[in-house]
Amino acid sequence: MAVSLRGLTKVFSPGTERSKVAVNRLNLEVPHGAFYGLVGRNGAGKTTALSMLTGLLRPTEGVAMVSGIDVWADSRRAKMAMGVLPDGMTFFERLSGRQLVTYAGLLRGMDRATVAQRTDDLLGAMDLSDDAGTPVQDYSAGMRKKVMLAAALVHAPGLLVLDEPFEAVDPVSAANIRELLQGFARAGGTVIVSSHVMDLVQRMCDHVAVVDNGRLLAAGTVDQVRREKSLEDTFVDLVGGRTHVGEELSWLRPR
Amino acid sequence: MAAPPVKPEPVSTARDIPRVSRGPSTAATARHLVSLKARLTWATLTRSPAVIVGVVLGALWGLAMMLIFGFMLVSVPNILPPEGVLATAVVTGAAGTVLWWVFSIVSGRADATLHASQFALFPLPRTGIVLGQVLGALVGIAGPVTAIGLVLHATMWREQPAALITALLLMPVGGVLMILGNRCFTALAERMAAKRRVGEAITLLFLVMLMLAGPMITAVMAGVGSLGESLYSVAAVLAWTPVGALWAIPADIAAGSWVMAAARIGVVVLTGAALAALWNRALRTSLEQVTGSAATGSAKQVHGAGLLDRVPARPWGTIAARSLIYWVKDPRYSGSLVVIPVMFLVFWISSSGGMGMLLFAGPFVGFLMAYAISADVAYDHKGFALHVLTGVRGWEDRLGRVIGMLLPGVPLTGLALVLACMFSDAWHLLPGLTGVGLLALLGGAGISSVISARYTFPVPLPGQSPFKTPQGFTVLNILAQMAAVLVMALFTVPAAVFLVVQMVTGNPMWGWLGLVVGALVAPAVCAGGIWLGGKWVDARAPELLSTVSSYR
Repeated sequence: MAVSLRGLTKVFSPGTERSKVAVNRLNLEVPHGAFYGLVGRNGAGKTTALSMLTGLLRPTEGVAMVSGIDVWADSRRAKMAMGVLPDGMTFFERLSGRQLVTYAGLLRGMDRATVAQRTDDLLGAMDLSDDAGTPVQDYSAGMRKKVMLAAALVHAPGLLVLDEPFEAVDPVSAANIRELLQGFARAGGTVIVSSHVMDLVQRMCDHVAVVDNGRLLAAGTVDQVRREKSLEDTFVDLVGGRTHVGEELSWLRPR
Repeated sequence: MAAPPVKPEPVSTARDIPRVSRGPSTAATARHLVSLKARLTWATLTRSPAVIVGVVLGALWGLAMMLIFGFMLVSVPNILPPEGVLATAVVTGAAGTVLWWVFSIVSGRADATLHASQFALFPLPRTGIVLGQVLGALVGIAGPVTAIGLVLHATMWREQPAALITALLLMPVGGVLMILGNRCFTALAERMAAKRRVGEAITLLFLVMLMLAGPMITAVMAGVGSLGESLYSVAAVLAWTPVGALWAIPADIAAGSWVMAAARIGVVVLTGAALAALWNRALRTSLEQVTGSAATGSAKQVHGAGLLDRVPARPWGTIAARSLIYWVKDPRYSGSLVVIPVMFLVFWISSSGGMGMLLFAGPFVGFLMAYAISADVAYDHKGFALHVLTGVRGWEDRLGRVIGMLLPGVPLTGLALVLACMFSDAWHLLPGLTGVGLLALLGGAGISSVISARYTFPVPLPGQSPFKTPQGFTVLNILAQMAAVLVMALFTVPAAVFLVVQMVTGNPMWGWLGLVVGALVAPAVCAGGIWLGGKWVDARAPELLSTVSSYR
């Protein structure tokens, strides 16, 4: 298995009255070569679960394994096997786009020539070549996502963990990135993508896991999970909580 | 879903344009803004037990300062003749006004809680926002303090009833002038800071001016002669400036010089009108071009990977290059670089003639540089995630930061050591001082490496002004920082002992011994700090990341 999460649990400020279970005994197996979608509502625990998988957040309980390596026992080896696009983080934004990707490569101990070559290729693929010398702090939100994605890819990892990779990215770049990721998965790489855009996940991924309230509600191939319906309808059925907004907000009509 | 019952719409006519609410009135807007400010102030002060303790300690300190200062103000009429009272009134009044006016610029976004651009989406009348901002300035900490200060200020005129009454009547005018200037310059600074480089340059310029202000005033005073004389001449000039005119009016009234009083009132009115007009314009742009004020950086492009191409291609080399880039480009770091030459100048001026503090400029510069990286992880903020994700070894993270600091730190410290000995004509002390300097710089770097891995405190975030007081920063953090400084100072003792012995006995051998001790101990402390700090980073990098990324 490329990734296996066993009983992964995160409790924030345990033992206090503000104690909150963000991820609750999550079990998930991701096979090699899978393009896995992780879907859930806002605050379902997707980012917390992925942070525990990628070594950014220590689990309260449970195990996260990447290709059989325990992320929290042998974290350096596990981190070398992963490329991560975290959500809600910013990297060193006074560096230029090229510098940032180079920095990420060199930090992983790669040699300079390889890093320079790959940085060029990646900036081209992300359509950032013209802005390679501009400080990242002057980038738009979508460009930031793309340069951080490039920084996650530079060491050619076997597993990509991407938290909301398409947020704020323009449709053309998104299509390019999607193609790039699908090619990567066809070549045997594993991709985990979190999103709450169901259409995207249904079109792009071959596997999907539905998370709500920190628990796993369903997991498997997209066709297994959605059966005859669209993924969006399945998701709404699983998660529930639809309100009949139209009736309650009857005053919301232009006068 | 059944359609809700909707009344059949009448055929719309010209008079039947959809009616939209006009939004709150001027008075209601002002009331909302003031209550918002009050709630925000209260919430800031009572966020957590640690903050409350800090606030209480801070309040006690502030109260003590106010008592001392108030006592001084009140006792002025007993000590000084009427001209002295006038001069004191003008100088202190002008100082208070200037403080109110420039504070917003120096501190970057001092009080953004009621910034106009935040209300651009709401249908609020501009006069309401203006009124709310003026009244809101009174709610908070600076407002009441200033009010008390103004009352004490007015009591200085108690010997002359006419002047006292005038002063009391003018008190609100003074308050309004202070707040008006504050809001005006805040609004202007908000527009200017939109050009990031401009904002950063202004910040650094102010830093330098602030540091030079003390020695410059001292020098000017020394030139003019006695303190009293210079105070009178300064006051005479200030009394005709926009910041000082108001505070001289009571004396004019008491003396019956109506023309002078009228002229000064003219200055005050013109000042107020100019500030109001400027503010009105700035406010309109704030409300109308909210998105246009987004930071626009320089178009300067970096070719290739810049410094990252010129260091050993190891993680520690890369981190050193990144640190150095930040030392140059980030005002939170480059501020320290600008401060150091200025500091040297301050030392030089304040110890003109004889061996004063200047002699210790070298170790002091080393100390400042080493201390500057003691909050490095907090300065990284969320960027530290990249170090966690890439699995950089702790010692490489530490070593890179130390090297990045030493690249400017070693030449600066060396220069300060040599220049200090040259200006004080004390070459015989150079070896001993170098020993202490080594311990301050290298040993300090080791201690900073441990501190930044373990004890983090809120700092201004990337992109913010280095003057911004970060949220959650309390007196307790200052105590922790003082403890860190103390530890770093303690580690210079091994070499400092020899220096002191040399200064007492006059035997140069002790100085050379100090150098040897420094050269042996400093690298050991540095390496030990990098090792221990690195172990701590390895053990708790994720916890460190969640602590520093929670700073807002």
